[in-house]
Amino acid sequence: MEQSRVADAFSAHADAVLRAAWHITGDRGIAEDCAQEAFLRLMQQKNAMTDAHILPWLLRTAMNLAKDYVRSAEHARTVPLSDHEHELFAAPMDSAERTALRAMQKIPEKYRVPMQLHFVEGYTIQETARLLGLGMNTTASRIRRGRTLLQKAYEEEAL
Amino acid sequence: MAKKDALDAYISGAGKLRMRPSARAEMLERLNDPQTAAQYSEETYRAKRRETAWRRFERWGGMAAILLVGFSFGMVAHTAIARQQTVRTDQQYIDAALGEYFSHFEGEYGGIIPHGSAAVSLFQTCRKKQIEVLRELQLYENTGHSIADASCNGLLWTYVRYAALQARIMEEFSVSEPSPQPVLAFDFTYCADEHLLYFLAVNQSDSAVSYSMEAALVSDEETLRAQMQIPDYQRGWLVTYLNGTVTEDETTGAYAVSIPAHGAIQLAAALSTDTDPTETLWYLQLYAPNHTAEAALTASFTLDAEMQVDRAEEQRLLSAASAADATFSNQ
Repeated sequence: MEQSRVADAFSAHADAVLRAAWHITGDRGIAEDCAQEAFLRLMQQKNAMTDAHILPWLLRTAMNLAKDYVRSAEHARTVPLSDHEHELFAAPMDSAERTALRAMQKIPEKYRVPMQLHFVEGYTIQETARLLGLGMNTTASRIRRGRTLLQKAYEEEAL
Repeated sequence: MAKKDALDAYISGAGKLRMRPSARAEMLERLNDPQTAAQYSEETYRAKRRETAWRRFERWGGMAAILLVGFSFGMVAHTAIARQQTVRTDQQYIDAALGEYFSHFEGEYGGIIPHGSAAVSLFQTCRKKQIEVLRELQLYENTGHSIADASCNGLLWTYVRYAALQARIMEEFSVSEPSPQPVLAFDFTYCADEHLLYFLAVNQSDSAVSYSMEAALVSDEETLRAQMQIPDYQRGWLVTYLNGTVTEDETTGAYAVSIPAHGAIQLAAALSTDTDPTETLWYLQLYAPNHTAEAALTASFTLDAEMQVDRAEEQRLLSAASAADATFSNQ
């Protein structure tokens, strides 16, 4: 893909791709690496891609990279800076938001990712299901179950 | 705290997660950097893929190659060891069987016959030995030696023994003839009496041997014709044998040889008139197939220790032989 289109896509979708990776790795630095790698791979793409397809493609690629990282041995040797993670956020967060994000990191990935795509990125359940390669009912039930788990984890974190 | 509060806080907090300006700037710089672009160009991409493929090969292909080589080596070694063991076992079996058989040969015509593949190997050994013997006999014949020579006698003995053993194996294991027998391209000009006795005994006791001999004799008619000459020194009485039966009279101990009218091969034996029976020579001659003049002959002789010969019968046979010779010479 042309460099200019990739640069445009980066400007438009970098944060969404970063979030998708962060929800899996829980580490901002790694998530950024995954996001960057996803954009570089977009540059390698020889197939024609419409603008509407770019973001879903980036999200899937970044999530796969993040999953690969989590499974890799390198991940086991790295200590995430979870305690200071909030300080690295671009925008200041209040305590409730920090608590909610910490709570979110505690629930399993299979609930976390659909919730992020649905609630944060604004994808419909159908779109989320297609992005994750899941059935619609499965996606919906994971989101529903994820909400309950988030609530529970949030309350525990708040205590 | 309501559910909505947690979700709202999460949505709000996650929404604030953005790429750091430094990382963003770094990435944009890379995207606009020609070197980076070149790095991710098609050629570089393919080169990287090739490199990855090579690394994979190094890792898995190397291991697979090692395993394959190891497996192959193991299989070869295993096969070689198994083969060696089998050959050794068969050879031992054959040696033992031959030794055992020959030691009993003059007794009850018995001996130990191995089973299975060892029997087949033994059969083939017998065949090979017979061919060797025949070649040697032919060599002796070609160099002017007589079959009465000690060395020829030994060879003939060996041939008969192997033929008998082979026949025994054929009989017990129904081994079929794998290929035509070698042609008996030598002349039994002189033959010690015991050889003829054995030929007859073998023929009588084991029809399979008789058949193998006959098969050998008829397999090359031209060779047989070339040797159909009755020497001048032919004396004594004649025994003809043609593709058929040798029977023994249990009361008198006499052997009778019956010749069918449509036989293929005739074997004639002439007994010398030497006074010492131990020096008696037998003459064996191959006659032409379909030699009708002798076809109806029936001969008999006695194989006692003294080699008593019915002189009248001898005379009759000699006449028949002469007539056969004359008939043959006229053809």
